[in-house]
Amino acid sequence: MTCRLAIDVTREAVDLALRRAPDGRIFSARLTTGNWAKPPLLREAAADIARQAGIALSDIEATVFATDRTEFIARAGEGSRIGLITTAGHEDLLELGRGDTPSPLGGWKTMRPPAPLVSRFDILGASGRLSAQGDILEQPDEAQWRHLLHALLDREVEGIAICLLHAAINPVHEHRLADLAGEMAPGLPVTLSSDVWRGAKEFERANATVLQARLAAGFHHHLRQLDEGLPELAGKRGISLARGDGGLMGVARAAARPLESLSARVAGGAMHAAQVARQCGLDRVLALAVDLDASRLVPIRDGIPARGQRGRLGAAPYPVPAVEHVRAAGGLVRAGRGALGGLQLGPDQSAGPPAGFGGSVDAATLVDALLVLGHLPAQPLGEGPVRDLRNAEQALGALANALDLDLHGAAAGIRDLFLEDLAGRTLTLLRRHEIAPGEVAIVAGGAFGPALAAPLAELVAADRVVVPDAAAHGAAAGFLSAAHRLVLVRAIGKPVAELGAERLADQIASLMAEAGALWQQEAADDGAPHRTLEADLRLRGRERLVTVTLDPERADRQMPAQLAEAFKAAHRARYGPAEDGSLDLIELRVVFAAAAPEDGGGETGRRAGASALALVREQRQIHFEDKFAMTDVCRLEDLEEGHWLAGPAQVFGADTATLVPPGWRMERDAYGHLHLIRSAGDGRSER
Amino acid sequence: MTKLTPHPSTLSLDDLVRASREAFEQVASASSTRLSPAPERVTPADAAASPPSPVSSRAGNGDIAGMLTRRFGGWSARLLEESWRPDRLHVRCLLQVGERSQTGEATVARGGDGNDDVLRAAAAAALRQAMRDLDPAAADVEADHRPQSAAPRRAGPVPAERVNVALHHLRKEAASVLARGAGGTLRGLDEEAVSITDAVGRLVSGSNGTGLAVLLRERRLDIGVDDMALIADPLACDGALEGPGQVMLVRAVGDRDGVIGHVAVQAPLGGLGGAGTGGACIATRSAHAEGLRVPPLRLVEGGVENGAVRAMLRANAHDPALAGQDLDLLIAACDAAAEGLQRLARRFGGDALRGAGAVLIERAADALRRRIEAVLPEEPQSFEDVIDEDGQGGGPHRLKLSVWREGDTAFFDFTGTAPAAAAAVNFRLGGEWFRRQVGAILLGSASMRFAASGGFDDLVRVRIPASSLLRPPEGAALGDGRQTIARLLDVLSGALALGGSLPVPAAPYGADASLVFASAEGVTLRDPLFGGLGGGPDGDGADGRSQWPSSDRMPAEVLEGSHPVRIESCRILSDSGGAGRYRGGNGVEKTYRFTADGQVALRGNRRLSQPYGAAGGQPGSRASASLLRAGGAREDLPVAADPVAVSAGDRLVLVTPGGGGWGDPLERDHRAVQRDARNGRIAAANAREVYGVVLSEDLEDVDLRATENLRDSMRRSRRPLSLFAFGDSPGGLSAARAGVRRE
Repeated sequence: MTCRLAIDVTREAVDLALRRAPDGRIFSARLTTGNWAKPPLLREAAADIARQAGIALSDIEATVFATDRTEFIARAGEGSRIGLITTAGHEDLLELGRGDTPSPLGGWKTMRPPAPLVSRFDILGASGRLSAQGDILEQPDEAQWRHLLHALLDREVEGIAICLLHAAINPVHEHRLADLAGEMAPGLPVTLSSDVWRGAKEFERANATVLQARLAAGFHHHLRQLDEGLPELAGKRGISLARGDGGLMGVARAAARPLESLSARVAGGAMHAAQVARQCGLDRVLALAVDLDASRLVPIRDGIPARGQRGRLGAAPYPVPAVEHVRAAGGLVRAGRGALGGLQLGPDQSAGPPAGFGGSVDAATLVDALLVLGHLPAQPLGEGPVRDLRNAEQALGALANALDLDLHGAAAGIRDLFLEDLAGRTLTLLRRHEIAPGEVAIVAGGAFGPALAAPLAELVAADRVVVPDAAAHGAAAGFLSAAHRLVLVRAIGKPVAELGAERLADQIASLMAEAGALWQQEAADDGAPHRTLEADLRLRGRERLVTVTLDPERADRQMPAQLAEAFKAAHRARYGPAEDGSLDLIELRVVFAAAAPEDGGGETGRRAGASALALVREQRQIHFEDKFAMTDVCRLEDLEEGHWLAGPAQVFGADTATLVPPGWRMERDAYGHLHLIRSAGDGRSER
Repeated sequence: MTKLTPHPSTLSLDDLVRASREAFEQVASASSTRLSPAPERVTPADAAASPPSPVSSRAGNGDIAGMLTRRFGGWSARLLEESWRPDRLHVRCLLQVGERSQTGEATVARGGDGNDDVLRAAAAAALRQAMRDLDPAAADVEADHRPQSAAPRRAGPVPAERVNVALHHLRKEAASVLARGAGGTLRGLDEEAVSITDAVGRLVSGSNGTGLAVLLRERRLDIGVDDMALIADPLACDGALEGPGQVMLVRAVGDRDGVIGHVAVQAPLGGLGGAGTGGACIATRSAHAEGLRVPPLRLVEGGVENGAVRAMLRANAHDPALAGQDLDLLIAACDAAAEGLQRLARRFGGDALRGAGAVLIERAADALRRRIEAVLPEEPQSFEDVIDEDGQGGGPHRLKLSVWREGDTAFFDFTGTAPAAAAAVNFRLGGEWFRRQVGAILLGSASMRFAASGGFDDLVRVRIPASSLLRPPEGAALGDGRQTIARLLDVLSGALALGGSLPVPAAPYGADASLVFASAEGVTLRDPLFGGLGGGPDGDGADGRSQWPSSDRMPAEVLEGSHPVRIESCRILSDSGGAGRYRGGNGVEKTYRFTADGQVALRGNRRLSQPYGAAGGQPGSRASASLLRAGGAREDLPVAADPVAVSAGDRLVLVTPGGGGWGDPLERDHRAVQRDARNGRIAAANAREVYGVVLSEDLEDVDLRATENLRDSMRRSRRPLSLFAFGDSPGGLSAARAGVRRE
């Protein structure tokens, strides 16, 4: 077991998790900062947690960084000013997009399409034309190209993105344009759509190319700061960056492919939940994280978070595998009286902190409701924000009056509506992944997940909740169990029959070789990777894309037969028997993954122990259903393996409050996780 | 002793307790087991101090009568003993099933619940105990019908809102099944495809009408909870289905008290219609050329699918394999919706669900009532617009709508609308669908979102002349009815806005234009084209964006990769949106070069008329279609035509309409004008001539003083702005549209 440090840097805070070798004990900490902490502060925070763990910084063998910086750059328009060159006649492709309108019917009346990532002013059309087969239909006019490049350079763009029609099939014109740009402006970053996403058509490809170009400059600076500013954290294995699919990558890869770090924090939370699931022997899990800004749900099967082949930023996809997640409102979601009467939650959220955390009493939020109901403690936990119950009551009071409810009725209504929304999203997500709700356990994280998970479980008919140790620092803890991962994609877009066995084998061999070379550069220390070969296939004239996993060792003359066989099996499993027809190979993908660090597991880690009644420090009035009940309160630090308590109960940890409703029973396991299990009868009878 | 004989289908535990209350009192007064003061004298403090008891007063006992009925059919029960303590109640009951009998006992905490509640909980727990002892297999029955939560939650303080949210997500969950669709049609559908009604067919959650209220009222639909109905005929379901090729599947969901509600899934099914170019229905003149129509029938009966129905659908589909696969998904989606509703019924309780549905319907109706009174005039006002051409040489077809209110009831009268067309632009206007659109405009303009339009019937009265464009006779073609729907929405918006108190958006481009190209090699290309949306009181209309959900543009690379065509350009057409404080969205100009011979079907409108501008805004530009022959000749085509022969090398230029502008162009933010000029969305000259904004030559700066002066001067010299601007239309169209007036 290696000693590993994970540092999760957000705009507001730094979460750290350290796994100490050789005993594997995890230490975690949070430092509230601002504006993405810089290296000196990170070094100080790392030294602090090392001291806590009783080790020196030099004992750390590997450090993983995750950041939400890329999302912020992409969303808030902080990226560089980019010029886009596309095929003449198609300069409006980003604005026209797919042209779709949101539901419901009539949404068009108020529809405001998302602003394109590049102003139309900075999009220029290039001469030259390819056919869909990649043949040159019109030779380009290089003088016109030079004129375009001059125009963009005059506008002082900080990078150029190039997306020409059919460049995915034949990038010759894109390459020539890039060469020309290199001659005219040496050092100016140029991003080609044929490098970024060959598998997509022009709108999605152009969008991803521009996104990549915008991220490149800003993120590169951030990476250089980390790499050069924190040499003492590099350890033997160097610094790694978290990927959006839950894996790790080297700094060079992150600089070249910043898209791969999008959604890394969500992936970190999911990896943590997956690790907990493996430790507890749970094969169907829903990771739930509820924080102030948002809630996120990720399905986990057999210890692996669900991964999609594409990430998504808003409505726009990008060509990088990412942990699939559903986003919902968070603790700041604002409650009000709906225009038709009755309570309404969202869609706005409070601009500042909730009233109960010292914010304005003008907005009643979910956090205020949880405080008033007693589901969050009235005193701050650890270094958490101050609590102001009176403020929360004041914020809710106005709403309660407007709705003609009592204070607690309004608070319960907010919580119930929030849970109903979360339950609805959960059920849709589980159906999409073909998981029966009754089969899942919920692993609850984030600042408020532990207070909401058991009631949510009741709504979706789940019987078990696990609240991990350090639930609020899930993302950082998750990357302690992550491993290097490399995904390379090659667009093919041809009928399997036309490709033939030999060319197919050549394609696979060259893709594997390319991945092997990159692996040597990036992760040679991690040893031989587990290699997977995947293919996306569809029947000619159909739209269903079926992904199959292949044996890379069988990239021989049998490969076409292997593809057909695998397609039929996968189609049968998901959609029923496939028709006969010509099969198109859309994309080949190789995934190299290092073995994940040991995280124990396979056992529930729970053993029968003593009742925790003797450890109850206080009793609080907590609102359940429609009235208050006297509820036992324990401190997490007092509970040892095997300690159990029947609900209603509440467990205060360093950053979170776990709610054990009536009818539930809580037990602590050997890993320090709390297991909440719904009992058939009244939990109290077990006393 | 009291004998309780339940009616198997209607008795609830409440009934049981209520019916026996008097007897209970008699038993209580006579019983020697009463050891405590009367329940009324127990103080809340006593109750609060009571320790927990082995049986929760809310532990899912509410359905005991149902459980007994499901398990045994006939049964009876007697209360043998009750013993009140300050903190608890102990009861003993006798359960009689035929010749067999069994006693059961239970103790419940009194807590803060009312005495009836406590007695109800205790009796239920005792009967449950007796049921288990009498027949251990009864545990299975109990498990089957236990609410999913072991500690069932009572509906919170705001159950209607919770039900509203739950139903919304339920529709999303069911729609997610469709994402596995083989063709693009189903995969693009979302929760709009799924509707939920109450027991009598009133819409509780959904965006489309279902026609179920009429079908159920007229007894043309009769399905049990194990059945699934299929309907594929717009005329058979009050116009809930837009046109041919659409199907609707329906399931009922119930509990022991009867039907709770219905779920319906609507979608196009694998090309069931169309004899025109590439299966399009633009050129049809009668329903007989538009494929299969199916009246309500049972696709699934008693849980078993009727294979003959499936075979019939496949036999009539252009693509039988696709139709079969899509039918599977539609069935799965309908089942998912029904399961979801059943799940909610278990969680909230059937009655609570019914009640919440009624509340949601009533709330939306109340809000609509208020809006009708606030914004509709008591004097009739009329608005007219036209469908220029129908693709079969007919047109213009006039749509006329008069609107007024009497008290809180709105009247919508289509008298004056053109007769049914001998072409496919007819649309069977359903009352339910129309009422919902009225609600969408009246409530939407006040930021009131609603999903339950089932209570609008009495508030919105609609008169549609028989044999008109909107109430076509049997056998009339309906395949291109989207043109009429689009214009209907324009007329509705316009009529509602005539009074001046409802700020509706200007007109959008209308129905999607489309190109169908069937090459001589037998490959068929279908390409939808979108135009500009109307500017509105809260912003510009979008450029080149679909007005309709579930439509999206085909990438040029896909079109060129699969068809003998080259997309030479696809551009947003500058200045095609009407000028306004919030300008109309621009239309699109798309140029196709054919690389093989074949024939083309065009579908579009607004070649002659223009989408109207509103509140001082200017109209959007017209559509056009031009064929540039390889030999150099140019032919201007109607935008609705089928078939048009084309040869390799010919180029077709299609232009879609821009949306109307909203508000005075001279009030447009100068920064927005500058941005539009820089981005080529308006010609630089028009910044000055239309908007009165003076820009520097490089478009980087605005001369604010000169702008102010110019705008003042333009205001003084122009004609007064009108509420609507229709632009110049040829001959009869201008006359037709001049009919916009108060009557």
